[in-house]
Amino acid sequence: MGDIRIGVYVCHCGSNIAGVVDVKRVVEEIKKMKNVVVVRDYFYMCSDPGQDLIKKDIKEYDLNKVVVAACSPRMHEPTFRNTLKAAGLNPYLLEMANIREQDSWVTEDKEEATKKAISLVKIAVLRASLLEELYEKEVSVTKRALVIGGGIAGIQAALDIADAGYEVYLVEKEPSIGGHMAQLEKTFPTLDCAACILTPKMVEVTQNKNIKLLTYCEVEEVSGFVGNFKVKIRQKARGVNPDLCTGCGSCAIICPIYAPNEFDKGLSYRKAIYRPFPQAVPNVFTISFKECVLCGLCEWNCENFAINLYEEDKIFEIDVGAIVIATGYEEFDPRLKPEFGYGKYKEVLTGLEFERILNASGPTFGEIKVNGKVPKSIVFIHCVGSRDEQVGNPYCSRVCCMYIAKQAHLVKERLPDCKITVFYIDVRAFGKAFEEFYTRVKNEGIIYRRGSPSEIYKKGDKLIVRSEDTLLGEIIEEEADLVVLGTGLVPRKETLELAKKLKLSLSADNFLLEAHPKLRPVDSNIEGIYLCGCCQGPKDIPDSVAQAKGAASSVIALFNKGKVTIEPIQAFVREDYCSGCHICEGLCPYSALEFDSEKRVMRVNEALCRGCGVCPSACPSGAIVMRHYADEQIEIQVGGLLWEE
Amino acid sequence: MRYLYYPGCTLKTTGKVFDDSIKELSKILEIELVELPSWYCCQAIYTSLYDTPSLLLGPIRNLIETQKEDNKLVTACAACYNVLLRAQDSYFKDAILRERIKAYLEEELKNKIKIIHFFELLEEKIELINSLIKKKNDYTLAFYYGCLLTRPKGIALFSNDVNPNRFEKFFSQLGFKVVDFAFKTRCCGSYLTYTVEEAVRECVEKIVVSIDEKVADEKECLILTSCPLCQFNLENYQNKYKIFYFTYFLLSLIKGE
Amino acid sequence: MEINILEEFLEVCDEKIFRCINCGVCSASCPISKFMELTPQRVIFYLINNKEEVLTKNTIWLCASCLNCQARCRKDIDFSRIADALRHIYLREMAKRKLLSELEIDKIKREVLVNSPQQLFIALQRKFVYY
Repeated sequence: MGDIRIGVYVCHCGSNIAGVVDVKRVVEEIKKMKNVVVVRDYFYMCSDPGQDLIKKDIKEYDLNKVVVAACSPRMHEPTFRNTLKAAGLNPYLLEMANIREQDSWVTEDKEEATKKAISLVKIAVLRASLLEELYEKEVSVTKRALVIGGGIAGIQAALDIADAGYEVYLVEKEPSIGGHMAQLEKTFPTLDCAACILTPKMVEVTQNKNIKLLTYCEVEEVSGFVGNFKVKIRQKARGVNPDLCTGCGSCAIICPIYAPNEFDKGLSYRKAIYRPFPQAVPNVFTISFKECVLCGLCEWNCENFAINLYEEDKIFEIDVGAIVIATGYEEFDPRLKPEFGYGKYKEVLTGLEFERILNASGPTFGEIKVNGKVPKSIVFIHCVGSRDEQVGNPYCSRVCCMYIAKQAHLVKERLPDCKITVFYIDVRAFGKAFEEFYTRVKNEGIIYRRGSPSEIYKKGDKLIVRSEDTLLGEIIEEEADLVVLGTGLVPRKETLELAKKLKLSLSADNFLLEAHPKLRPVDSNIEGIYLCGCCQGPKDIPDSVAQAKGAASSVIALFNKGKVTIEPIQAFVREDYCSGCHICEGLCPYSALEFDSEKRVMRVNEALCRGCGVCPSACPSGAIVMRHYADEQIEIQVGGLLWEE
Repeated sequence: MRYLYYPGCTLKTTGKVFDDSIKELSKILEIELVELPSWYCCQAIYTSLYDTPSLLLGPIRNLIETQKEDNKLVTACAACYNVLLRAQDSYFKDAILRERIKAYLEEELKNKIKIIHFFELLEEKIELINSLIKKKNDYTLAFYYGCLLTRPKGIALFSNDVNPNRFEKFFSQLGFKVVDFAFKTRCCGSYLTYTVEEAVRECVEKIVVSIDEKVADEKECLILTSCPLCQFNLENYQNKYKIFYFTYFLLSLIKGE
Repeated sequence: MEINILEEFLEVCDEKIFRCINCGVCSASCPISKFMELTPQRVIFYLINNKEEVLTKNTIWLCASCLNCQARCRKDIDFSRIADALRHIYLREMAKRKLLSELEIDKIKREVLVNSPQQLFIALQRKFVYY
């Protein structure tokens, strides 16, 4: 290695830096340093003339290291790296000193600020002298996507990716796709029938050649990295060959075993061999082996010999380049709020249960009846399990206000004489046409009373809902034949398990965390994995679909590009030092460290490593080195601060 | 086992039945209860004023007395139990409060004292109790928990259960029919009996109505309590159901009365 | 009386009243809110808006600290502590005028006084008498 020739560029950033820091003094001080060939200052280093200054100097003075003292590297490091690249220098030979965010913006005393700026630039120069050339790598992308979850979000994402011409696997753990939306009656605020707008999309999934539908399957394991994921999938034993089954239903007719129907939230019964609902996609029956007694009647009755009672789970592996997670939500379990008597009184229903009651293909075929009688009064309760820190859900579920308004409207339509009272805390009608819908519903004679009920108990055959009308300031005990709890949305347990497997971050409310709340709302913390729908947070159908389309276009953009670049700031293992103790393996949040059983040392998978720096600090023998942040590169900075010349 | 026992003022006077039955029961069940020497008023209610730590001196002093001999303390009075627990909880949670309290006292409370409700001891002896019961009657039991044993969250005995049912479990294991009624943890009205009698009357009526809902024949049903305050209010403001301390009821079963 | 009730309150009590969303679940879960001139939810609302009338309402004397409201409050606010604090502010204010007790002992029925557990009576005094 020849001489170290460093060029230092101090930016004024208009008055942002120069207003507090005496830039000229910084320049004079730095000029005295060893290895420094040229020091300049300029109004805006990031502007075209500023960058040209650097480029010219690199050529003229034959610089081989550059220090820019300006704003945060988060802001302009990529800019100046490109400058170096354009001048023919390796971009990783750049070092930035942050004298704006960490100095001029937070220090009032000009003298102190200047001193701090000098120290910051000094240590940047010291570090720059030790920087080494690093090279980015490119990896090709498997142009095939995996969508986990077959609700409306997953369906939309799969359709969009498939329409762009890429293959998609759509995995659903239930026997049919459709998700929660298939259970709904009508959708707010337009009152479109949910089935009418969803089922055509479900059919589209089966007809699209690019979509491989994997129902009754679960994701077992995910390994690999952006562009090259390997996914293990478990095909649960379904007992029915989907290629032979015609969905005629003769098996279910003869099956002697009854079980609560999950699709109807347990309000009706299905057989042990069943299809969740008549419009199911694929239109195939499934045996629930939890209940099946293997009597063989269905096998005997099936004309197509589609049934195999002794089928076992199968596990297979697929290669994909990107993953979209659309695992959806779970309804809050109101048993956690025992004061509402859910589970104790059968006249207390959750929102989704009541949705099934209202549904024309539901357990009562759309007739609203309680214990065989038409209810004369119904009470709806907002915010059950949301905005409630007692049950650990401080967030707003965003859909309950409007689905209650919709359900109240549907009841009023069918039972005009029924007295409907809605207890609310705040009505959040923020979406397009929501407020208009809320006004319409109120105008129909539905009584909205502000107050959160504290308990429901029984008096005779009536339920009593005790609440305060907070606007009147009086206690009311409202009689009701039926109480519908506006249950909120909570994260699925399965999603939490999946997040653990994939090392996805969770937000404080246990929904999956997006990479940036505003600017990267569909990206997860792991590159190549995207989020959409309610797994990321409660949202209504339009928002879920919009997010699904966003996630799909991110996947398409990745596939169109066809390659991913990997930043070279990564850990690497010095094999002579490594004892193969595995300590680093468990600590790595990206599973980037693997054991080389031949050499008996650890190895860094360069495609996975994100350069977080956990492993080098944990390695007991100092075998792991962070490129670009090696020990000596950091030590010289610390030393420069501690031992002033 | 030997335990230090904190009776509190009420169990020595108007709640003597409760105290006597506890002592007799513990003798039968071979639980040695030794009264805490020089016990002191628990200060009756937990008060939490930021600027007046003296309000918690009573319970803390009792715990300091306990610490000299043991790290466990048994009480049965629901009020004492609640106040001791809450005082100790805030003493260890709030460092500023702790320093202020220390300024008043010569000694300091070093470690947490395990405050045990007498019922917890009985739970451990359930098999012995079951074998001792001579004659089983076919009463239906409604156990009234009240507020002091169930709240606040995370501190009191039953506060971590979504729907407390340990008493019900205990008595159904002894072979009794138990009812789970809606208002079993509601307030009985407490000291409002002195000032706003109609409020207490209303509270008790609500509790009784909610038991009615679950019981077919009211003569066959007994209300059990573990709190002298509840006992007083429920005795005074209703005469539909008979009401006993749960220890007294157990004792009479064992004695075969 | 003329006092800055909110300021006084924040001095003696650290309950997070500003988190309250006025849902009224406290009033609804209170077994005796029927007898109150101001429901608990409104007491908090008065307090936040610095209305000193809150001291003259009977609510603060009726709260028996059964904590039913605390167990159900969505925002984890303990109303009994608020009532405690307000009671003390009132008593301290009255003590300045040499009135040490809010209790009218003569009005209590004799048979109740004699038969009641004394724990109950002590609790009453702890709440109604200045010390």
